[in-house]
Amino acid sequence: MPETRVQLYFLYIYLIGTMLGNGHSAKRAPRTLKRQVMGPSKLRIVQRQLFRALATSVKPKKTDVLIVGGGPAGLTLAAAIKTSPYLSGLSTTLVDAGDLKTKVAGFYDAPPEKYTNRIISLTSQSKQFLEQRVGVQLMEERLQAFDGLFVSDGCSDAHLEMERGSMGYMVEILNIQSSVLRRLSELNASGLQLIDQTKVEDIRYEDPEDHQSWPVVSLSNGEVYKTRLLVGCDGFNSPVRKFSKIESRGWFYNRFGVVATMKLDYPPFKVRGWQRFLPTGPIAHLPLPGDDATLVWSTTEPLSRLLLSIDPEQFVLLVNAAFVLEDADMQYYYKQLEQGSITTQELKSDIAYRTELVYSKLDNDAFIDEIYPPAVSSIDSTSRARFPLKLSHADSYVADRIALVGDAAHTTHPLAGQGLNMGQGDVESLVKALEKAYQRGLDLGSLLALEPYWADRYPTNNMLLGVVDKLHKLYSTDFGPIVAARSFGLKAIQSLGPIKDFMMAKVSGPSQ
Amino acid sequence: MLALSRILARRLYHPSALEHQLAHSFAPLTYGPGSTQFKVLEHALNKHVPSYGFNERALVASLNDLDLGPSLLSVIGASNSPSFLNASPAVLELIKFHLVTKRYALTKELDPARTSSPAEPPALETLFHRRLELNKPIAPHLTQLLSSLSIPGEFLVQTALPELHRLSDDMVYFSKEPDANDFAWYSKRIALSCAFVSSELFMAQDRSANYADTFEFAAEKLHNVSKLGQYYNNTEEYMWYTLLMSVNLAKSQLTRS
Repeated sequence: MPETRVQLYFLYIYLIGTMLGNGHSAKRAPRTLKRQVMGPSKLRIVQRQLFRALATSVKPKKTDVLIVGGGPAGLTLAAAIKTSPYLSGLSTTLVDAGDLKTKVAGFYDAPPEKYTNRIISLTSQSKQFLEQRVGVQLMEERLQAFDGLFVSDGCSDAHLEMERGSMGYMVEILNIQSSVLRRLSELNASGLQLIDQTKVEDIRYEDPEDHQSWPVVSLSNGEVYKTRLLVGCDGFNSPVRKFSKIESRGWFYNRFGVVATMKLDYPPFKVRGWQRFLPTGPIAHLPLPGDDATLVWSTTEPLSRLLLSIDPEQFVLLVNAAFVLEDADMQYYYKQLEQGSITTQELKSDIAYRTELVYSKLDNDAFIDEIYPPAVSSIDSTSRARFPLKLSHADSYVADRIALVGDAAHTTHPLAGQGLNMGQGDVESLVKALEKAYQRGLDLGSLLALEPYWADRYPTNNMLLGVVDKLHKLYSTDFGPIVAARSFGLKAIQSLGPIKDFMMAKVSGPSQ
Repeated sequence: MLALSRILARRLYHPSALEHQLAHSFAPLTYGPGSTQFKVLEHALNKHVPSYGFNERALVASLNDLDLGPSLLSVIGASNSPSFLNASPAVLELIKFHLVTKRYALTKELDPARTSSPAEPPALETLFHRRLELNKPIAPHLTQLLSSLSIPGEFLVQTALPELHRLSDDMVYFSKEPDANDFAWYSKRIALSCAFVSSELFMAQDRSANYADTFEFAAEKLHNVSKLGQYYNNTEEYMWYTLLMSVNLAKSQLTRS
């Protein structure tokens, strides 16, 4: 103890010295400090130490639930707690590093004309939960229901047509976030606090020896919270998960998802999603209202860089070609574009010629609209972006006074569009577990209260992660026998209605 | 009694030459660049082997060039025992010299022990390619070289195979290739050795201009090695993941009671 006090004394001297602008002491003080503090940025460390010293002196505010992260999962959880007949009395605090209150919330009232590039598919189950249980009113004019999915194999002519009214919805993440924020502000619930533009600096147990004591969370705005239950909705690099010492396992796919929002030649006559499994990764073309559409193209790292760097016009040509032409053609174009040995005009005429060849092999021109997505005319080139794809799954979702939700607990390949829906499922299950615990008079942070959530969600998420991972593995090869086997399987499913229904029910809930 | 035991001990104890040598920068060669052997062998390898091949004629020609007597042939071959098929020990030494010096030449700029400013580690492919480049002058005699190296016997066990594995070890160690510290350490080196030997065999038969086909062949071989390594790692990773997730799944269900 005396040692810390001496250190603090030094820190004060140093800070006073710098504040006074006294060159002499400011120059000398760091030299004495250098012996105590190692590292590149002394001032930052000094500040942090000072902050920690202050943190212990600030009296922590108490809260029942502290949610770290204001993504769709975190916000939905806060809203679900506040709309629960049992839990609405809990004091709830949500901390987010982004600008929730003005930028995200402002999206609802003044949405931009163009679609943003972070668009996800929301299953009807998740939408139902959001609308009926949480009472969120999504911005309907900015989301698009799709009535099916057309899946095809990039190495053979096998395809699978899944058709069902309102199978899912393409929604901007900002749409979900801002709608939930709107709902929260409508509720005007007491005991709910949103703290945005604030980072979590430090988490510790009140009594470091006792893991059942309340976690104490220090924020970058100087506030300190002591919480009964800490919920990590803070994404793949979750600080809460690191604090909880729960291991996360998995791997990077060495693939990147390239996204873009696109304009179509004309509004599609069949509103459905199109997905083609190329050996480099699946490419998905998903509908937005009117003649807008969104693209998720999973591909290898060098190719994703190429796709971001080429001319938007060339990008459009490649997207259209990827759904029609064979992999060998695509590889040729990639190579030519990489070397810069093909002009946009040459690319255009070559693709047009080859596409025409493929079309001419069809029995009937009417098939073109049946098996190929509507042609893209342009993209919003500022919307092009890429992100790394990975699989990760935490060993557990719960620890003493800690729960992990959404990407903090699991991340997946986007090929089935399940990432956000798994997070929504987590929220639903966690809230149910908390309600039950509340009715039974349990401590909401105890393992006894949280474990049912883990037991409920782990098998489901594990299954979905496994299926998506296996699909990725199955389709990332162009090895002949495997292509034949998977094409046979896809055709078999295509012709067996009940199996198709069962699969759709698994992914998007029982039919309505 | 004591004297007798001392004599016996002296008789029974056969010293190994390596144990009594000063550490040379070209281990396992037992002589350094200043020695006569080194000069003769280097001269032969650079001047006469490209035309005569790995045989005594090349060595004798070098001895003549350097004004040394032909009796030095037996000195040069002194550290090799006569081979099973009666290859000259001096020729075996010449082959050993070729293997060792080419291996060292490969990593001269990369080894911090031998250069003050080691270069950035290159890719494994680059090192592999460079080592094959070093074979170019003697490529017409590769068949002869490879057959001498593969004669079963002491030379194969003591020199040829260890040199091959030292070469693949050096190539992994001095490149930026990530290295494993489990069983994959062995698999990687063995796979690399196989790729190198098959590339040399290909080079021995290669008649293309500037051995372009060999380099293409080698690149493909190496690509296969790295692909195999990836399969290996992915499988291992996947098995672990599946095992741990099954345990977690069981644990999660055990909480229901």
